[in-house]
Amino acid sequence: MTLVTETPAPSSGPSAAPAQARPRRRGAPPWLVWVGYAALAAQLVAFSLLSPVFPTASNAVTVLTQGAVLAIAGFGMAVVLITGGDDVLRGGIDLSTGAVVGLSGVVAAVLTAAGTSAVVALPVALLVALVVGAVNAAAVVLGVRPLLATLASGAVASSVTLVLTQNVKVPVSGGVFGWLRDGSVVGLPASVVVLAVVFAVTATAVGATRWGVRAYAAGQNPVAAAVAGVPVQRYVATSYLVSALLAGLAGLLLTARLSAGVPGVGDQLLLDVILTASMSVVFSRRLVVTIPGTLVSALFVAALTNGFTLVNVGSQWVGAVKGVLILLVVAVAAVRERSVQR
Amino acid sequence: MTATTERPAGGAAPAGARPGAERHRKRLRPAQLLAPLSLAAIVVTFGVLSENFLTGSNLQVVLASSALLALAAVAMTVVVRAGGIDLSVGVAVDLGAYGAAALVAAGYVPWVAVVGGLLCALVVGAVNAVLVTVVGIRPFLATLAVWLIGSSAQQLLTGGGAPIYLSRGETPDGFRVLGGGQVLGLDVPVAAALVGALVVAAVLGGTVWGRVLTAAGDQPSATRIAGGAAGSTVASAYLLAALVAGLAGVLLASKSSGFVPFSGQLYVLDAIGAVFIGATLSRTGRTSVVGSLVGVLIFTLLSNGMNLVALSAFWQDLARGLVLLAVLVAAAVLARRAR
Amino acid sequence: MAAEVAPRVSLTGVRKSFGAVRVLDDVSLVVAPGEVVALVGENGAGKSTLIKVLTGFHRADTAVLEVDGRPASVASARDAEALGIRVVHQDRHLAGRLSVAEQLYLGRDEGGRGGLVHRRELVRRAERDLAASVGLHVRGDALVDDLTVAEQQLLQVARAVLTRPRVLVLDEPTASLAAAEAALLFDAVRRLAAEGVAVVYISHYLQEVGDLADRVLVLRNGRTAGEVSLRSAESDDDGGRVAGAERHALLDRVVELMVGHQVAGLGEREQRRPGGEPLLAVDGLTAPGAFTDLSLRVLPGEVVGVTGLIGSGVEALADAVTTGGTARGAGGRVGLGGRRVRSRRSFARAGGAHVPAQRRRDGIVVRATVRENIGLTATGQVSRWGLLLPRRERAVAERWVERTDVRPADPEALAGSLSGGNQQKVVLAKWLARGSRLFVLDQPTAGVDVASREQLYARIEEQVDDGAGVLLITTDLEELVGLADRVLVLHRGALVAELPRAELGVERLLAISSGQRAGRQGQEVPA
Repeated sequence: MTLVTETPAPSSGPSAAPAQARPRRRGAPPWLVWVGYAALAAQLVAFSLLSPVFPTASNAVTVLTQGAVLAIAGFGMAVVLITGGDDVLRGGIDLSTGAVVGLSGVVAAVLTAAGTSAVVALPVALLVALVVGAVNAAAVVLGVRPLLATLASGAVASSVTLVLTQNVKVPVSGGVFGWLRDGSVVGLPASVVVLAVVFAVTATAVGATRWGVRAYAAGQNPVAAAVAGVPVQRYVATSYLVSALLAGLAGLLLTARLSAGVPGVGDQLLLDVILTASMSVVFSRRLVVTIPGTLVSALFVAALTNGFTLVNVGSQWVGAVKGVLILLVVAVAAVRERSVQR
Repeated sequence: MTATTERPAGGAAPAGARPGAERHRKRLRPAQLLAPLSLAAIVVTFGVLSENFLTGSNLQVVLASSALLALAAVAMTVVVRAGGIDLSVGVAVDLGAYGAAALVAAGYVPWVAVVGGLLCALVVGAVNAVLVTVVGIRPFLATLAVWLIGSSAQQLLTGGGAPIYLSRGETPDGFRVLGGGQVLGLDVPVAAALVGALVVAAVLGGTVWGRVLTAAGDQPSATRIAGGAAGSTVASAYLLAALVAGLAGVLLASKSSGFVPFSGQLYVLDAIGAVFIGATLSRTGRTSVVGSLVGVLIFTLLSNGMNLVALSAFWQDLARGLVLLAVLVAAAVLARRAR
Repeated sequence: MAAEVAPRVSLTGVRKSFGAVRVLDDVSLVVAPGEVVALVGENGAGKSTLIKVLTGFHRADTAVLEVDGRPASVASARDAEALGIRVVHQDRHLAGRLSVAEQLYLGRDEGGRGGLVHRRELVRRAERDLAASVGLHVRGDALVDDLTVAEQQLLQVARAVLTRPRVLVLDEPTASLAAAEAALLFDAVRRLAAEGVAVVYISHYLQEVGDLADRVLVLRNGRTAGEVSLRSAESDDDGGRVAGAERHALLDRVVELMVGHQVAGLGEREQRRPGGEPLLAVDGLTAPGAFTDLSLRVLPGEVVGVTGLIGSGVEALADAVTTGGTARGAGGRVGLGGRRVRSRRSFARAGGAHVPAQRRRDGIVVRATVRENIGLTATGQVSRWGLLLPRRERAVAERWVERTDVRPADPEALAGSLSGGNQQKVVLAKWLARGSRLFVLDQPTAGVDVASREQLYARIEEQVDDGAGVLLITTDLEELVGLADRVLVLHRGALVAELPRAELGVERLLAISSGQRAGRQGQEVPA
């Protein structure tokens, strides 16, 4: 039996706003945001305890160098995920990233080996990467699901790599590749400097410009973005070009690090790149893909591989632990997301 | 800004004033003809290029080589129909093969090996089901993680990736017949693929489970509100997919007399390609078993034909990639024009 | 209307066909500066197409456009924006994970110099602009997802208003607003009109049209059915608009023009005499963030209405009831036909039907056919041992398509291709086919055309006369007055009044739900 109570009658008329000055924030509780960072910290502490080499400065540089390729390719993937949205089948994804990393590295190596100067070889390699990006962009804008378009173009790019090299690695040495591998700028290794510059540019573009805001809008609700006057298709097309360009750049770094254009090496990278970009969600309060989050994730994955090698755990465990850790982190994000959706 | 306009004719047409609606709807869209036409084009091209292509014996070779991919694609069809995607289908194939091969090597009778292999594969499906429906991870990421973990698991199970070989002598005939025998004039794997495809097609199209699965794949909340058991149905889709993939794995173990780690991974991307080529057969882009089989045939005939005209493996990959890309782009362009 | 000023916008001679279907035939829309023109018509009459032509989404086969007397053309949304033509769409076109500030300025001036965004300043500016333009007070750095539906709708209106439009088109802007929020919106519209903006107002709610419009343009089947001016030379109050009985008569004329013949509205009828054990028994139901400790009963043969402002908790009621209060943080007990509801599935099994508010997302499966949609719910009628019986399914679908008058009357049509009203008929049809006895209807006629509404009401009343129970949750007060046997009013998460049929009235309900007047003191809500 509920008795009707007299309601406190506001004096204003029916046109008064519901008196609620600031809405309660229904977002994720703040402590959950730290779960991702906690996992990263736990990992660092664990490896430091297990291996005295792990927490040294020189090892940190190694991790950064290894993480640079992953992070740069990951930034590209992040841009695609942001602009294309996160729908399972129709959302943005670039499965050709791995193949493009391989292709660009191999093209540069083959050209250099044939005596072409680096001034020509590197831009040509990036141009080849952009061609793949343009194919992706065109296919996606025409209406092919990104998953499929990039799957197919990636298959084409990897087989071009094989055709170019006949599946034999192409050694490179000296010149720009030597500098990228061994050079340094104010005491920092060249590849780390490249990473820092690329990070600064993409993080600013995505996180603090009009372009970034519109890219996020295009990904979250393309109709809304179009209604607001954002040329969604142009943003989507651009994202695949950016992704291919960054993958191409990552490929050059990788070729420098390995001192050779190695066919097939990029394909192994693809999963790590996808995980890196997807995992960045965990490091964001809005539960969206971010560039800083991608950087953190890339270092997380690189440190994991590095740490396992240092504590002498067999390589077959790396995949398993990576998988489990990633599941944990992604599961946290999933649970968190559900709590947001009431 | 055409891309943002939503189905103009639907909502805006005057109600009651569409006598042509019935005919308009039944009319085939050009995009729906694309996959069959590509198939025909491949048959004609290689029929002209190689006199061995259109022979009975070559047809048998094609069928035999498409059987396992067909099963993987059927498995993928179920999951995509349920609104997901299964990147771990290769792991299910591998674990199915591993389970069967290991049990035969340990001297168990064939049926135990078969059941054991299927159970191993089901573990993969169960993990996927839990991750996707209970934990709520997006299928792409969940099955990607399972792919990673499954790959490591294979290395751990085989001591770093060493293959298991089943010598002729110690393999019971009952197990060998699965990969090499014949029933009703068909290779056993081909017959198994046909039966598997038929059963899955019947279950998807003719049962309440299939109806709920399809609806849940499109709109989970609408399905739940309509009284359907969306969660458990989607979960069972991952189990069914793993079971079908596991069957492919068991057949693979018998066919290749053992287990080579990661051999199932080869099927993943082709299966995805085949399923989505097949989806162009439907007016709403829905995946179907028949469509997926058409996609599988396109891939296998293409490989077979290129083998016959002695194209190198690298160029073959290139050609397959280009064909996939061309079909997908053409389908998209046609679908867009029909709008 | 004075003709000395050039019309702000003049779109004349519009013809547009999709394939063989002509959707607009020589339609014209002319609006003077400061004028509010209501555009009404049933679903499919061509309103949306006309607006899409005006805003560059569709290209007309023929059309002449003039803005302020100068010839103009729109080929894209950008062109329309450049001419100062803005639309607020019925659907909320918002990106959920943007901040309110980002969304407010999206596509316009999100940034400061050189495209770089100054976040804090943007947030402050947004809070100021929202308060000033539509009276909305929310945090600029909150996520769009964190706003209520009504707040999101007002945010969308603010977007349009902030650009100082010359022509503002509002497409069913109040469909998801409760009366008080709608009043905020009307204030904003009147202010704009006073500043000389030409306003085109599309609505199914004629009451609103009467309150707001200077002139009503009625479309029917793609043609101009007629125009009704609500201005009068004699009347001085309310800006020279007609009022009272005269306005009523004019609105009746609008309805006639819309449907092409005279229709009976929701007729006066007797108080029903429900009886027997309660079909639905809700006890102490709590939905987190919405309402607490809510109890109600629905008897066989009665329609119990529930209303309240958006934010009062009404929007969460249907979900809470149909899940039996089992959602996280929820509580209470829901009994249906004597059985306890523990999930949506058990609700449906116990004879419950849920017609959800988000029709396209929750009501139908858009890529499935009408037959498949009906079969999905009426599983018991179309299958045995889990196997579908195709011929039976086909027959069941055909029967219910006919009984609910779904158009086109084709069970193989894709549900998503139907108009809003027809989609809703499919939603109702699938539950009727299942033989449900208790209907939870959540905003059942939002965005549904007048003729379909009548049909939906008729089907519902049939069921009630036959002993079914209905829980009608709606912010459409006229609908409540027309259909309900008694009405419960929610205010700030609690039941504050129960009115029997004899005491129902739109104004009274409005007053109580907006908290202006309490329900009769001491009146009991049966538990």
